[in-house]
Amino acid sequence: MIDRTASAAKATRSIRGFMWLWISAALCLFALVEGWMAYEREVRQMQEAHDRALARVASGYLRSLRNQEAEAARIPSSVFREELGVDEPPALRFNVVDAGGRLVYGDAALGAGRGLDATARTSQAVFYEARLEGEGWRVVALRDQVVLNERAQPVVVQVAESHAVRAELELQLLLRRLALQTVRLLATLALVGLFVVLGLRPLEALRHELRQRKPQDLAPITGGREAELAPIVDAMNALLREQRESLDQQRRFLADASHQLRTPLAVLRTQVQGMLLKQTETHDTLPKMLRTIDRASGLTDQLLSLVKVEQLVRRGEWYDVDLHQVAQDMALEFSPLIGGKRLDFSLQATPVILCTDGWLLGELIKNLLSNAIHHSERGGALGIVVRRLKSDVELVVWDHGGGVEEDMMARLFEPFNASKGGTGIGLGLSICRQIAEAMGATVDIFNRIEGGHIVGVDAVVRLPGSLIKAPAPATQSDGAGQARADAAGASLGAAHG
Amino acid sequence: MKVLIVEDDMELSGALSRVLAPLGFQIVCCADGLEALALARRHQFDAMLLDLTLPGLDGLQLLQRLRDGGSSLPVMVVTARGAVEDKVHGLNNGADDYLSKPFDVSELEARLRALIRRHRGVEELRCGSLTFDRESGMFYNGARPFEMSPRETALIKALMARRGHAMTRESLFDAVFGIGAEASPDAIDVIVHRLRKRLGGSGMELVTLRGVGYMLVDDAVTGGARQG
Repeated sequence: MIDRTASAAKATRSIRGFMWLWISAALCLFALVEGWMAYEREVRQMQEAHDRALARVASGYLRSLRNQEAEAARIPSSVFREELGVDEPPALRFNVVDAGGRLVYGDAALGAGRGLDATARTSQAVFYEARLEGEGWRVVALRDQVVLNERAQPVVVQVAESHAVRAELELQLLLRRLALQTVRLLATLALVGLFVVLGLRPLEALRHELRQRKPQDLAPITGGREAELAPIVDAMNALLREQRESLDQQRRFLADASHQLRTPLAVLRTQVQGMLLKQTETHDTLPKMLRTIDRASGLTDQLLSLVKVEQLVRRGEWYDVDLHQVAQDMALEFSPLIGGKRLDFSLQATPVILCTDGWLLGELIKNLLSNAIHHSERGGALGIVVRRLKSDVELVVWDHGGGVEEDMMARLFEPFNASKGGTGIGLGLSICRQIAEAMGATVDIFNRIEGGHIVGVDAVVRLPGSLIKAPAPATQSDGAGQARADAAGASLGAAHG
Repeated sequence: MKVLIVEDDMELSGALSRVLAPLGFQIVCCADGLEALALARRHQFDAMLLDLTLPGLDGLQLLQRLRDGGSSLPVMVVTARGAVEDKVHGLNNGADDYLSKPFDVSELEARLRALIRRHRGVEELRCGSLTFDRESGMFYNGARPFEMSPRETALIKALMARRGHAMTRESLFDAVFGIGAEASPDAIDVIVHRLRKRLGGSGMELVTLRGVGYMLVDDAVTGGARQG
């Protein structure tokens, strides 16, 4: 069923690979953005925490200066203990300057400070960045009144922390965040991979089932009942069913056709042997042999015609066809037979253009007309009527060649069921039905009743309105065509038995 | 009449020879395309019966080379390929007529004779006892001259040229009055009506296919109803 080499050659894109690639890419991007945002938030929090700690140290130092609790030249370790909860003093630099900007205590390199001067009224902490000896520092400045040299005066206390301390912490935060994001990403990818595999498992099972099938196996596919696969499997099963039916039809047809072709061959053989054994007269047998050959030739023509019908129906390339013109062409083609039997023929047609295939339409009319001529007595009447109904188009091929028996009527359209005496080949009406079905039309045979007696047959083709393109351009004979066709149609319609 | 039959099925060519020889045809059979081309170029034939499927050189190629060489030998293609496209292809390649297998021997004979007559320019118009003499331009009913008006003559000549086949009223109108003439379309019916009266007893019949056109038939046209 599957050309594996071809399918393997074409299988350049894998659904699983595609899902893997794009889900992984999206997750990586998401992890990167989310990780970066989290890292920035953590750095900000760390900076704020360190600023608050610096401010608390500066505030504690001021408080100790105000209280004159200890040696003022350094920050008491009690401050670190109280404010930061540590015994070891961290690597901080500090100084105290008075209102005149003069250094009172501490590190002269810190200077008078940019954030605040001692005369300023505010006592709120001010933060700023400073560079000391080529190194960046974060400085906090606080102002307050302290007693210096037994006199209360405003001073600014500055405490600074090196950027290096914070940079080291930032690096630690970055590494931690990277590790965390990587672990989360890997875990998510593993889960996604697992679900992709699990999700595609029915597809894999279906692929396996199809690979295991033999080319001639046309049984329905049983797998793939999931909601996403079911429509595809159903469509494939519908195709397989069509294939199966078509194959069955072909098998039946081949069996019938070979039987039908063998029959005239057997007849011919018998006829020839009869002559060879001098059991039959040559002048009696030869015309019979000719008829047998004609019948076999006719069957071959119809078999070829059937193949062409199937090809055209499968191709389905419809175009504009003038129904009146096709009917007229068929009448011209059959004119030698009509003339030969001196038949009284008439074509009454309403102009109408159909969107269909001209050859198929011609073949449909040809088979019906051929039947009508075949069954007509010498000098009998027959004809074609084309008329527009309310929404459809009706084509009737009628004759006066006697009716069809009721028990035969049901089997008329089956292949190899010759009607009326069984001298026909029996494919013509089968071809007609096949063509009609391809056009969405119907074809039926009715016995034609006149004066209470069956006098002939009406072969009625009902073409759907969807095929109608437009009325054909009027020709010189079309003026009365509609009225004649309608009148003829009315009489035909009333006569169906 | 010397006819070259180019057919690779020896049984068919043999049977055709046996059937056509007593009918006045001198038959030469050939089963190979290249050999047939050489024969047609070296010898004088009145017509060629050509099968399309041949060893050596395909029938259509043979035809092409024959026409390329300037030969006007009338060629009737006889083949099992009956599709319209194949016929058109054959005729486009220079065939003069086309006959699908299997065929009726009498039809083959008639078409072969008509082909040769056409090629010799002596095609005879005949239907029933009515004949047309090209030299005098007169119609004869048996041995007696049959007077007809120019329009009747044009109509009957058009129908006789396709004896046994119907012609549409439109094509008959063009043949009688000329393309685009402003006569009434019913004028054809009037002429047919008049002719039908006059042709009684000539062994031919003017048959009407109502809604289609007319045709000339005589007793030679026999009907064999097809079956379906």
